[in-house]
Amino acid sequence: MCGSPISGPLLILFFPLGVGILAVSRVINLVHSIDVSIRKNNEKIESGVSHISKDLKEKILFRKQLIAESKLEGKIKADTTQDPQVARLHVQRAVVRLAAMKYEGALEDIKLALHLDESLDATYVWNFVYGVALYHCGDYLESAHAFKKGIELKEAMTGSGNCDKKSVELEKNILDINFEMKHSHEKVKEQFTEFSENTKTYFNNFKSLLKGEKVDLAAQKEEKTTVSLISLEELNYRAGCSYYFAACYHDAIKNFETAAQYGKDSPNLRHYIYNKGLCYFYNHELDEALEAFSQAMKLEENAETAQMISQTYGRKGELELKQEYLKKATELDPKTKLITAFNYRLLNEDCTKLVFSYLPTYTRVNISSTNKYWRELLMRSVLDDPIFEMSIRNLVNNLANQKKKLEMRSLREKIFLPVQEAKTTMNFMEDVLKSSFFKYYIEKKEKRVIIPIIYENYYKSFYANEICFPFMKDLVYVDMNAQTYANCFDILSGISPDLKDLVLRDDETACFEYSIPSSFVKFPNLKALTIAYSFTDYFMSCYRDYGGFSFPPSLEKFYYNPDSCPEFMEIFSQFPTIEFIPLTNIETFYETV
Amino acid sequence: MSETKQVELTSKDKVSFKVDRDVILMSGLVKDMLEEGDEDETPIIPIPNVDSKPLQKVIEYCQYHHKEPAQEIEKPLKGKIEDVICDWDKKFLEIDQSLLIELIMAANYLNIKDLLDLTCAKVASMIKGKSPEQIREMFGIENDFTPEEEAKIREENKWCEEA
Repeated sequence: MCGSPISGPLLILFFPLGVGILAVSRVINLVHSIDVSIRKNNEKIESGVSHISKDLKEKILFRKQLIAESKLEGKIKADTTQDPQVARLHVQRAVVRLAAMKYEGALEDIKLALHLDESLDATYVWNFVYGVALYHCGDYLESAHAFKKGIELKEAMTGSGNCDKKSVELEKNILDINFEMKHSHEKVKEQFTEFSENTKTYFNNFKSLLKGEKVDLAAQKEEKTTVSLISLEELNYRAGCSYYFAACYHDAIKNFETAAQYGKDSPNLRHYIYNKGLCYFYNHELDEALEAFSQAMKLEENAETAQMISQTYGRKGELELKQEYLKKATELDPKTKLITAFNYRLLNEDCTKLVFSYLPTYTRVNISSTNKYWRELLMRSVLDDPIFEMSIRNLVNNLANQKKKLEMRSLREKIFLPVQEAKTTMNFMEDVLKSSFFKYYIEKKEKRVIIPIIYENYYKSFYANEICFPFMKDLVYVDMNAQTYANCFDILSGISPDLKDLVLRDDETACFEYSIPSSFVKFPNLKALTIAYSFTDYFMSCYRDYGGFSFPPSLEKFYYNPDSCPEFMEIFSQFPTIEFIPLTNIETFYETV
Repeated sequence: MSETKQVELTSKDKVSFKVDRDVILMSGLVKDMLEEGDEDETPIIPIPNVDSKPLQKVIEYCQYHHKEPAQEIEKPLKGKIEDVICDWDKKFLEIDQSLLIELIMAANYLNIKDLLDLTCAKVASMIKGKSPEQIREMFGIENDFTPEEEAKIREENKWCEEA
């Protein structure tokens, strides 16, 4: 209507309205931007508060350890050269970190100590601390070996009667740092105990002297200085526990027996015998297990032992005795309940992996936080799968519910925190594939992978997504959707040059990129090619313009859709060394994925 | 009428079971042992690692599946195991869990693949849909992760949790 006689009055009429709308929209924009910035700020504050609270909690819990660690850090920084003195500081810091439950850090320190002073390896003290750090990091077998070495060294030292000065000094360093980590009241208590013991000895000696008896002060002094915290009893007990967790039951039994011999009067004797019983139980030696549990029960009646006796009778098929001991366990502790399911330790590694092989990958990932042994087996169980399915249904547990879960935010979060953008299917895939659960799988050679579904509208970029590269490296078999770019073949051939079997499947709406038929040559070791989509006249003419079909000399078999057009069949004669095989039951083929 | 050849199995607790030779040939271990022995006699085979109760169940399984071969159980399990096995197997698996574990160990020792697959799939079905806490409680597993380690793993795995 521009230029018409009524356009001028209308413009005048609507001008204030337009300005009003513009002003309102600006105000809305301004309010929105203020709201976004406030929400972002709230998020920062919240994360800061949670960080501070975590920090504070740690500081309260491990206050003394943190102080001791910072003191040591100052000394370590001051002298970084290869020096036995610095090595000892690292051993001390490892002890502090173990007390603060920073196990990885402790392991680093103890290894570094050995790097700085190689002779530490020949001391039982270093082996003891190394064993404890390995144990807490879940490396049970290595930890058991470290304790075993510690036992040998300590036994050699005790047997020869020669005091290993280095070990004694190192142990003194550990005692010092342990004392440093104690709270003031504990320090005072300890000093009082020492004072009271000294007074007691003094009076006893005085009494003996009055009676005219001889007192060997030198021997008393020596006895006092050779008392060691890391006794053979302790070392054997630790070794037994490590062997037990590594499922080396016979070795564990030997160590628990030795610990029991050394600790005949120890309050821990019951634990050594009970643990020996557990080893027999899981090693299917039920009579021996019963004997050990009964012995432990004589030393101290408790629900835990009664429950194990009940379990052992259950496994022996003696149900009356099983019930009797269960009743006893309940009397000792009313909360006792017999674990009704099997105990996972009874199964060997192969059987446990077989159990896991029946679980979808997302379940394996989820239950990998059960315990360290299961996590290791679960991570390795993926390696045994004949094929790895890189799909939402295999990797994400119920996508729709996960999306809903994400939307469920508290009112406070909805009001004060930034509005969350909707996660795409691709984002979920990326998050799961980034998990450390797959660290063994991505190192696997000769992988076989299947990518069966289209990921919303992102399937094309998915192949080219860096997250997927580790999973598509060193492939020998890949079954993927044909809706792909030729550049995906460039990536794939670069990271999987030994690909032997390529399957391209498609749905009815597919449009196979026209340069792909000429791209198979990029895989010099390809032996079998399967293309499930039917080649129509239209596609054949398009392919012609992009170079037609070309195959590597290694290709032996080409499985094709028998519904393809006659023009496609004509190419067979051009490649006499390749066997062209029709896919007999194309519907079944699609159903396989 | 020709008599069916038999084999005598002796369990760990010294209980003997007479069973048709063809039936117990489902066990890879027994098959190997029989190939080495004399065919004319009724051989006595000691099974020192298996108690009478699970051994009886193993024989029961072999007697049925000797004639009705078991169907392969698809991996991974799509739902409950009861949805993919025959009625006889369903009834067979109505046992307490300590016997189930003894059966897995027996099937593994005697090398009976179908029985091992069935019992392991049953355990997998028990695990499916449960949280790590529930599994720990069910199987008496001790959590040996530090709180930080566990939190880190759970953060990584949150899209795999039950929702």
